[in-house]
Amino acid sequence: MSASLKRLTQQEREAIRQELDGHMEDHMEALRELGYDEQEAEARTLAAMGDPAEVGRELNRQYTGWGWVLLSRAAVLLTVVLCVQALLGLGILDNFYDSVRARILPEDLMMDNDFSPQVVTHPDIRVTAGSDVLRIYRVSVGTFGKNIYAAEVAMVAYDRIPGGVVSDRLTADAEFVDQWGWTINSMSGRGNGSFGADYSLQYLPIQEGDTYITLRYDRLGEDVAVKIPLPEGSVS
Amino acid sequence: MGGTKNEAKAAPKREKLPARRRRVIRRIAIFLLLLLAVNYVMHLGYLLPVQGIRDIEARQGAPHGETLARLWTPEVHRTHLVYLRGSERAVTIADTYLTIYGWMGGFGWTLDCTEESPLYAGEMTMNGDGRQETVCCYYGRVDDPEIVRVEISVRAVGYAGTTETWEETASLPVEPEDFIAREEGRYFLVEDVIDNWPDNTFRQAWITAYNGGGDVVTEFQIMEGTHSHF
Repeated sequence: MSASLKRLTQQEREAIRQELDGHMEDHMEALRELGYDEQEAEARTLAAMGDPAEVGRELNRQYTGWGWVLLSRAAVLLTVVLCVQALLGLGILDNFYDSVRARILPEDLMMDNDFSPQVVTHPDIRVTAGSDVLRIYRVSVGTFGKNIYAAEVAMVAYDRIPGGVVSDRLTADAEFVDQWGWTINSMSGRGNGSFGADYSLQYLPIQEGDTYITLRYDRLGEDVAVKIPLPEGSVS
Repeated sequence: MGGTKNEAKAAPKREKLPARRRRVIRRIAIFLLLLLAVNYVMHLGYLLPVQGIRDIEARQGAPHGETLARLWTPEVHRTHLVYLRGSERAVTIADTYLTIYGWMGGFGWTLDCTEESPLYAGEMTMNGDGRQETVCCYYGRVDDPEIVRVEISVRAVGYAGTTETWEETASLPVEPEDFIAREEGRYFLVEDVIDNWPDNTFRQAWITAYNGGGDVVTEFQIMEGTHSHF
């Protein structure tokens, strides 16, 4: 029968041989348990297997087409290549981690040395802009440098879908406006980011008595405005 | 009841898939699942250059657009491609190249086309590590139907004493037939490869739009864009 199994890979041939051996062994075992001796059990088992040529032809029908073999090997090769790429790029997983972390527990950005906070609050303001979300998670008031009354705003942008690529233009193009409608120019700011999350920390001059500032983002047809309440606190 | 039995007997027997085909389907399914996971979680293993471009669009905060033009720029990298993508609200230029991780997005710049301007223009310049040439791509969108032709003037600007002087190093016309027309506007993408730039000067690009009579509709210096080094 083995001779009639043409066009089989070595692996397939071995698999068939093992499977048939197993079947025959089981059959012989069963016959022996029924009281047949070794030779008779073997003869009956071989007879039960049928015409080897016919079995070979049936098996050949299950293993037709070298195209499938090539396709199968290509799929294995591509999977191996992909695994190697994934292993080499393990560091890139940070993007996914950053994206998930930004929505659960954002990085506690270090305050500027020139900023002396009086009151620190941790609001959770989230606003959607396009496919991203901008989250304001720390707002403080205090003094910046030589007694300039200032607010500190810590924010992070992330994609709406965990693991998605975030825009680095969202925090960069966000503007702040005071409660009288004047644009506030940031005195100092810094940020860091990855494909998963984009952080920004801004220090904005404010007036004593200000109760809120407004964050605006007007780009690509997205017109977002969100009020950020300033924590109440006395500044000497 | 007998009828039911006969019907059951008559039901066609489900044919088992040949072993090789079964194995191929299983292996391809494993590959596709892994590919999807690696693409999505790690943003690598991209089989198509446009997947890298989509990452750059996301990075720019731009909506995913339609591919309007493609340039192969071997002066930067053997596999380096520049894509022009447009949508109603934005036009994006972005580049991608083939690495051992698959196609990777490089850099890009998006022009906001929601400002009701007659003409939007930007630039993207690139050069490869250790290569002399700088590839300059100028792109944009014409929203004013009166504009039939635009011209980009690349200038080497320097100073003679305290006086600013300039010399045109290239003039890149975009004729009516060069525009890529879509419902929202007409797009353009032109390329200039610089391999010998005049000493002690810096580059400026100006764009001029003309109407059918040859009069200037608008003219401005291209200020938006990005430079990347590979």
